[in-house]
Amino acid sequence: MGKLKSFTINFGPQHPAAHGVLRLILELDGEVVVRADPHVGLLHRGTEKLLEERNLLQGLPYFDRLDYVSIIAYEHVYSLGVENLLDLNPTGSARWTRVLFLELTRLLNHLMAITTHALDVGALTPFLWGFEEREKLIEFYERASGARIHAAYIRPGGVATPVDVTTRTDIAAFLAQFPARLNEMEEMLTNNRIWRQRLVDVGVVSLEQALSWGFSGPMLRGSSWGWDLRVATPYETYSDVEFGVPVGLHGDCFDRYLVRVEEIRQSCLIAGTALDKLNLLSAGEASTPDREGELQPSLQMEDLIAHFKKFTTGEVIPPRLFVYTAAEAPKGEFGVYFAGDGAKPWRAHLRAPGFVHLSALDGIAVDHIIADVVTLIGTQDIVFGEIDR
Amino acid sequence: MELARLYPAWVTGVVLSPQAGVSTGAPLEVLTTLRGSLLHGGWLSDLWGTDYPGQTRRVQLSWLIWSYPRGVRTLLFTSLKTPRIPSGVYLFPSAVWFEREVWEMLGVTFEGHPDLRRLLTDYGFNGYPLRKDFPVGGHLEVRFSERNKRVVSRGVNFTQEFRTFDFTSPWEN
Repeated sequence: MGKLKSFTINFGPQHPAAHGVLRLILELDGEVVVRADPHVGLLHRGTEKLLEERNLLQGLPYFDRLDYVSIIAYEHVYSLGVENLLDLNPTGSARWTRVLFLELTRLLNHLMAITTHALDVGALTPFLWGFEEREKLIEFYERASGARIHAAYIRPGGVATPVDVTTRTDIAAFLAQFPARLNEMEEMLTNNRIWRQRLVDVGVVSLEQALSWGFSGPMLRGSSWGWDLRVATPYETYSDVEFGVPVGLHGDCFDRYLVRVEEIRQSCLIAGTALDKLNLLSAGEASTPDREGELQPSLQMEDLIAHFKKFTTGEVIPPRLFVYTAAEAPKGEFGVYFAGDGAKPWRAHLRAPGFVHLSALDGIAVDHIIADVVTLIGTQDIVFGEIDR
Repeated sequence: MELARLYPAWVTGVVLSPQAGVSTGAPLEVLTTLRGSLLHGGWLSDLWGTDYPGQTRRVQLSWLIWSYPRGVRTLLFTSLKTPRIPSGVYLFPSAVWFEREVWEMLGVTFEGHPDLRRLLTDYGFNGYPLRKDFPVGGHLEVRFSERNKRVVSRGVNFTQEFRTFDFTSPWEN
């Protein structure tokens, strides 16, 4: 009998630890990974092509469906891109509302990232606790926009509707109790012997590797590079907020976990600041219009005609114009590129952070045992809506 | 822009507003410089292509380079007469998937790429979806065939035409 050298297995696309529809072809030597070849595209919907067929207002809801665990962060980048293209300027309270919901979105995403990661590695309880908190956050989405998941809340020119006082009070109450919930979750994980055995020194990414693979977000910060677009290229009102950018030291899965936990804490602080500013602003404005944003109708006939024209033809992009806009989504740098021509973008391109991270999976997974592949997929915080587009 | 000042032979055009971008006829040379020199220390953040049918240089490629130490983002454009270009994988490891995507979406061959396979489309897919002559609805659709007891593909069949409305009024302009 010939000696069996290496064999190939199919990981996914229906494996629950594959975070959706990842088909991973693993070449194994015993239990050690020789090559990991991700086959992606099972969720490919041609978002870029669809965007080229629609005007700038119709494109927004596609961005909710890209990364369906950090929804508002992605439609925000789209709105920023359109605003850069058309030179729109949202009001101050719209900007603070955006910051508030962007940070709540970061909580949503990181809760999902950490707890499903723990679930993959074998810890069920943080998942149940984390999703209790996610449910509360999703209710704030619903109260602000009417939709639990696909909010379409941040729009070009502002936000769909301002958050009312009761919602703001409830968000403040949530933020007051949330750090205690996070502590409970950390008690379960951070010093847990099994969690540490599965994460410490697994999937070490050196800084040089992280940069050459094009990493961003917690994947880059875990490898000791304090790079955050909220600080590097401030947008909205982030330059008026004090917050820290956590950085890992070793570049392993455990450091990336710690970075995400600390980002949650920082996000709570930012959201608290945004709430205070919103309360101040709404106290100052005695008569706030009930709908914000420059693309909202008034009741004057001429305005209605102009509004109807805007929503049917769409805003017209000046020819030969291009804009690349990026922001710090919870997973990393998410960017939108528009090259303009007429009412529809001639080319719309999306830079998805998960796509870049997954492309490096082969490089990280080599020489790890097969059980670590699950840890690596978890630490990359992969969501297929954005990778496959 | 700095690149145009430093390397006038390579830069063919510069756009400043609303965002800075550099077009070049020698992309690989500029990329090598951006990667190698201490001044830039750039890393590839993204790469994509755009189709402009009817132009002699039909496909435009765009590279996005982050120079992290300086916090500067460079957009580099080049237009190709033939859909062939040397691969940048050996400069930037992150280019592997970007180039695979451009290849499958627009049909640009990257010479020297170690692993040029389709990435996002279905196994056995034909055509280049992001070219402008590719219809949004595609050419094939899949369904489960009760007779053959397997998934089969056939030509697309739309019950309603894809509609585009022309809203331009005759007395405008």
